[in-house]
Amino acid sequence: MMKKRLMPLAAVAMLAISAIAAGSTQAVAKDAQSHYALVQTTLEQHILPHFAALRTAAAQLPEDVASTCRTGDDGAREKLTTAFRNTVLAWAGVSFVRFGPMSVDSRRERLSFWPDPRGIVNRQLRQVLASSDMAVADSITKQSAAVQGLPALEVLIEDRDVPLGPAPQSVFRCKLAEAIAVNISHIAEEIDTDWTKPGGWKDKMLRPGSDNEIYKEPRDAASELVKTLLTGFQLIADSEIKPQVEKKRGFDGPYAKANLSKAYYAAGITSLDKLYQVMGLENFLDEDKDWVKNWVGGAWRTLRESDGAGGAAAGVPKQYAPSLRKVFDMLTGIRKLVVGEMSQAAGLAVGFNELDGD
Amino acid sequence: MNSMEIDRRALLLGTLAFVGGQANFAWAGGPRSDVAFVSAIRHGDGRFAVLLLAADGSIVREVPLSARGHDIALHWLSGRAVAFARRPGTFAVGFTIETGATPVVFTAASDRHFYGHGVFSHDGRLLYVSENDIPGGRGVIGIYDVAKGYKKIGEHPSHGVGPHEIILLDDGKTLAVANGGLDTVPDFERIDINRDAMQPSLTFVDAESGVLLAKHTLPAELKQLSIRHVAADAAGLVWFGAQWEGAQTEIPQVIGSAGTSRRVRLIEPPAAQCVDVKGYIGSVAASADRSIIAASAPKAGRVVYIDAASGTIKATSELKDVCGIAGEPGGQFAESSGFGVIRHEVPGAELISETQLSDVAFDNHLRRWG
Repeated sequence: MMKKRLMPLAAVAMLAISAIAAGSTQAVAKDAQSHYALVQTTLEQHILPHFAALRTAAAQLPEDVASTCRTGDDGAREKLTTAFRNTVLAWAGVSFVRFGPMSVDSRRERLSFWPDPRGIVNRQLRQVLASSDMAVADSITKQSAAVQGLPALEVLIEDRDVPLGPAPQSVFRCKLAEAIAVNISHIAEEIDTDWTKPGGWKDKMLRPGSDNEIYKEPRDAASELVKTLLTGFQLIADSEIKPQVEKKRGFDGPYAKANLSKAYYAAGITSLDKLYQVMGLENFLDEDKDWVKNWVGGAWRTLRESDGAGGAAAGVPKQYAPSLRKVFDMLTGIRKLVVGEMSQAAGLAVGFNELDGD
Repeated sequence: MNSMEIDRRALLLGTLAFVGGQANFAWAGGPRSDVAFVSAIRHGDGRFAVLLLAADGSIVREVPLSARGHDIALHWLSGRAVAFARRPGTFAVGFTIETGATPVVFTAASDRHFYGHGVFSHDGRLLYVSENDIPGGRGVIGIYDVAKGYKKIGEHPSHGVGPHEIILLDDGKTLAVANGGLDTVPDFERIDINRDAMQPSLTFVDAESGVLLAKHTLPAELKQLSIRHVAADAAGLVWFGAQWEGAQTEIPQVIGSAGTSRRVRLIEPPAAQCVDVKGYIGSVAASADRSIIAASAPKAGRVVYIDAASGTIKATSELKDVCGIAGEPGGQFAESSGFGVIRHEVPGAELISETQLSDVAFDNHLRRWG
């Protein structure tokens, strides 16, 4: 059974008032406790640590870009490569958590303008570089999202023709790279702060009530997390796996220039796996639904054997590498069972149109 | 770019032949079969279809779909209907309501995808479809010759990005287009690739020439308000329901109206009438006399009824995951939900009936036949 935690008194009181009959009061309160526990556990064990990790990783970028630009030596460059990798993989772990602080000021697009099937990052960055306009670097937050975040920084870091360094031809590039790095760090910091500050999004989710503009009851906050989980399955299946299966228009994987696509896929699936596990939705299923747990358990084992790009995960023999089609099917299969079985058992049924209308 | 030349003669026939007698056109045909409602659905086992329902909610017939559908365009006089794949799908299925003749499947051009909506010309010869020019990322209105098995004969610009619902106004010549502002490419399914640079608009386009008659954009602070669905009222104003793509803490009003010569006005309910729709309207529809506009809010589980003349909220009702909505005679509305419910009600008055279909999730839109 799901571990129960105490709800804030205000939330319990609100629920007691809203329930009409004594029987329904007990049922609603029981559900509310479960939903509250789900939210608290998920925030503590997944959402908050993952955003903190992004903030920590991104905080290293400005210093490492500056160091590379100042010295141009291999040690500094290697350190920057590591910092960039850490930030990209931390981002992969939260890229599907799109509500709350992430929804503010187009932070998601400004951090990671991907997918970019129209090649906007390259096009706009070329224009900026051609202009060598220092004012652009000074006002990076006012520029297009495409040149503000990690993909733009990737282009600058990975450009072997004009590498970041102290050479005269790199002066503007370095100015721009430093501005982007600072911007990435600031956005990651803002998101983390907006989650954790007093009255921030964590508090909104843990203190539902009539005076809460977003979450009136624990169910609302728990539903938000269920939707996030479902969004994660959908995004990874549709934007990361399926385009690899159906290569139609010259698909570029995420952060391919830095050779991070595989690691990005793996980090996303690992984070989704963790989110699924900490939410504990299986615990709401009745005993006669063991087949659901068994199927999902097998699906996660398959996903853990994949590198997300058609190969085997680290430590897994090559012959056990699941095909990308199988990875896609496992992701969509788990998603269907979360929608059709688990969310309903948890009293968190998400409507067909509410979840994915148009 | 699509180099297809528009067949001007076909366009003229399609747009002008029935001009002059189109007031309340939608209600002129009257029911000729048991079919009262049409909607795209999903079965419990994941199959997709269009359901043709009787007034009591019983299933008259089913047209299978290969993937998820969205809206259905109806033409009362010819008995034709077309179901569209939802964004960014590329198929549409033409069928007849009365006869059950073999459906006709047609597809978008290789460099186009559909946005889920379309509308027949008043004479039923042409079908206008909201589409995306994938390489160019610009909205277009595809024009199809119905008699030729829905052969594409041309296209107009939608004069915006991400055209969603399009309707033909009473003059039979003017298309109102909800340009949602969102760019999508099928390779990345439904992921919006330009949320930071959205420019939603409501455009009025000459159906024959494609000339832009009027374009209403939104102020900078509302650039992430995606205008998606439209319905015309008795005065000829076009009402829209939008979806907020910005911060959850900054949700604006998402229902508004505009005309060819009247700028956009969002509803401004007094504080006591402030209704939470979670920044998301899934569908809009007019009452039979078009004096009332209904807007469904599936994320809030709520329908908002607006008095079109005053622009004020007349009533609200609640139904979990409600999205499909259609006006009925007698001031009634029918609503459908993702949990298989069809409900009939009079705004602000009594609930008339409610039917629960098992194993059915009603998709975004509900259309009344007859």
